[in-house]
Amino acid sequence: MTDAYVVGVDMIKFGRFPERTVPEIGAEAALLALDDCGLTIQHMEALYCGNLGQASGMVGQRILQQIGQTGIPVVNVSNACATGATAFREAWAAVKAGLYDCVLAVGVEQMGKGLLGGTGGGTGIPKEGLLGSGTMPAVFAEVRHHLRAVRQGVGEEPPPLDPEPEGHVPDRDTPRNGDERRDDRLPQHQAHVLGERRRLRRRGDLLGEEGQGARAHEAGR
Amino acid sequence: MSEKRLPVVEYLKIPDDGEPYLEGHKCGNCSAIFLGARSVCSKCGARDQMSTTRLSNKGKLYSYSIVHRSFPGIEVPYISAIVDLEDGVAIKGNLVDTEPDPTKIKFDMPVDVVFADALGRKDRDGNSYLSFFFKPSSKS
Repeated sequence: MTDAYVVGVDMIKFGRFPERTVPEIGAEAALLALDDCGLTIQHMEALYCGNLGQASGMVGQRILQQIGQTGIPVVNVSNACATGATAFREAWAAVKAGLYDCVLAVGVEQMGKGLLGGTGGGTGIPKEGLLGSGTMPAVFAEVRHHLRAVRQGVGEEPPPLDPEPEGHVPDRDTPRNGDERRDDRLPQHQAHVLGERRRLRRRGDLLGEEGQGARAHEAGR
Repeated sequence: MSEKRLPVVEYLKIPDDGEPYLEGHKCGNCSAIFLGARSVCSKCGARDQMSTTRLSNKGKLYSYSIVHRSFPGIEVPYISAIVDLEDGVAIKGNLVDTEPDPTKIKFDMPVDVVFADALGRKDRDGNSYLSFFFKPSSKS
């Protein structure tokens, strides 16, 4: 596994910005982070973009429209309140796995007003304030220190790898061929990653290589 | 005049004869019980062995939040509570007949599930609804 480092980070001031679009706001933050480490969008090999409000709206791609359409892979992430953290985690994991040397993670949200959440809609009558509260302050206040799932017995550690599990329940997390869970890499995966890295070196997109900057700029066009 | 009330949620069942109850889904393989239908047991993974079951009417207070601010039209304060029913199912509802004061509410305090009108709320067609609530168990 590669070590992963955060080399640049920044954020814009909080505000509503009703006259600006979500990609414009995200683009500003992205440029600040790039400036923070003295790199450009041409150095970035992938973009992980967290946004919930326009979750199927290709926000990552629209941010690249603002700051440079370099043709890199984009992953748009929506994961409720964990959206930003998940975008960051996926960016981190990709670097750790050796898929890329440098990636950009951006989170952007344009909030409405009032309480977040609430058990509204559905059929019949609103349940908010009748069957407890589904608002985010109440939901998070009601979490206690250990996971609900573990208490209910569905979040336990998976059973050990067993060639003949009782009831023959397929377990998607069980690696094939007796490989251990959390092993750094399966042999076939390793070959794919090495191939990726060779391809990227030819593009001259990797950090720290003398004279690659200019070539990368051209390659990005 | 008896008004026919509709169940506030699909897992509240009102039989024609008998008392209303909450419905869960039980695994025929490991006996785990859940709120909400599913075809695969969330605990043991057994397929197509879930069947409906009546949930217990007693439980313990797992967690709560006293809500002081809400959307327009919702009376506050009220106590939003998560209860662990005796059969292991966790369910969320309002804790009633309790002072909204943290010093008066204890984790794990025993509660009963009671059924009553849904705070007078009606839908667009004027239907009334039956809901469930949690009430501190009386000391006998």
